[in-house]
Amino acid sequence: MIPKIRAYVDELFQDAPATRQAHDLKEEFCSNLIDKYADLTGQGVPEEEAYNATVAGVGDVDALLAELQRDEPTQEQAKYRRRSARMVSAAVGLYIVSVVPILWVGDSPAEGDEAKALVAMFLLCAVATMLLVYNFMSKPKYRKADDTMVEEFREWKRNKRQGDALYNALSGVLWSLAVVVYFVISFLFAAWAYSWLIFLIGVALQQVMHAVFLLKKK
Amino acid sequence: MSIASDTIRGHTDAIILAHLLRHDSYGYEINKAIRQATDGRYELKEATLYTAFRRLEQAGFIRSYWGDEATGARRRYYAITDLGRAAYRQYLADWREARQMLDRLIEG
Repeated sequence: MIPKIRAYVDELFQDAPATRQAHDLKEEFCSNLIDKYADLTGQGVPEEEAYNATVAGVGDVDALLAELQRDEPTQEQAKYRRRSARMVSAAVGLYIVSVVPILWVGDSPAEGDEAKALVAMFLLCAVATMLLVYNFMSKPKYRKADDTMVEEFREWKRNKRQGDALYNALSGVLWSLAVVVYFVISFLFAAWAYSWLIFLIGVALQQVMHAVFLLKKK
Repeated sequence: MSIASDTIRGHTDAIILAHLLRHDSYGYEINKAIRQATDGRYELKEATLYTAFRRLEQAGFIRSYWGDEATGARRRYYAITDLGRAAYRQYLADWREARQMLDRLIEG
């Protein structure tokens, strides 16, 4: 019957976070329930009846388990944090490497080489920025621990910050793109007289993006 | 019986502290002591008991350590701290005062 008690406790704790505290609490539950069961059978209570009495005395453990969830960052969050660290470092690495094509071309650039180097730099920056944007967008949403106002505020704040972060990341993409496109077009077509208009288009695009974000918030 | 069980549940913390004042103990032993002291009429749900343990430990009133049972599952023992003793004394004084007032209020 003791394996049955263990199985029962396993089931109780199946949604508990994989933390030391939860593990300890589970072991404590097990040992005390087994003690109780052993005590009852020692008094001559039939096994089945003793098991039922033991299990019936457990009560509602939901609040207790919810408290465990709150104490420790969930596994999901820990996993996200590790993945996020990898992505951000990869992105930073790409940004650093992105100047290499420019250095490669060096002092004696043929007309076309310079543009190729710029395109390569732009591609590396684009990949890096995509990594950052994806990282922000796939951030797990903050979940309310309970229904209090404080938790509601935290959730709101977290989600708002997430929106701002996405907006900033997209702005970054937009302006690095604008600079790259400006140089590429200017060099390739020697269009210095008109290419500055690209920055005006950039401003317009940023405003559009801002409007879209505002609309989405409402 | 509902007055008794509500009152007992409302004073879980004090009951645990009072038990630990005598000697270190673990969950089932405390619950068994409660059952014996109430002539088998009352015992705490495990969930209530462990919630109280966690609360008391976080408040620094008790501390816990694992026993070294040779067989079966390990037991987690609890011991009262100096802070816990002080809290218990305060609790006892409050309780005596409240009991007197309730006697006067209800018995009329």
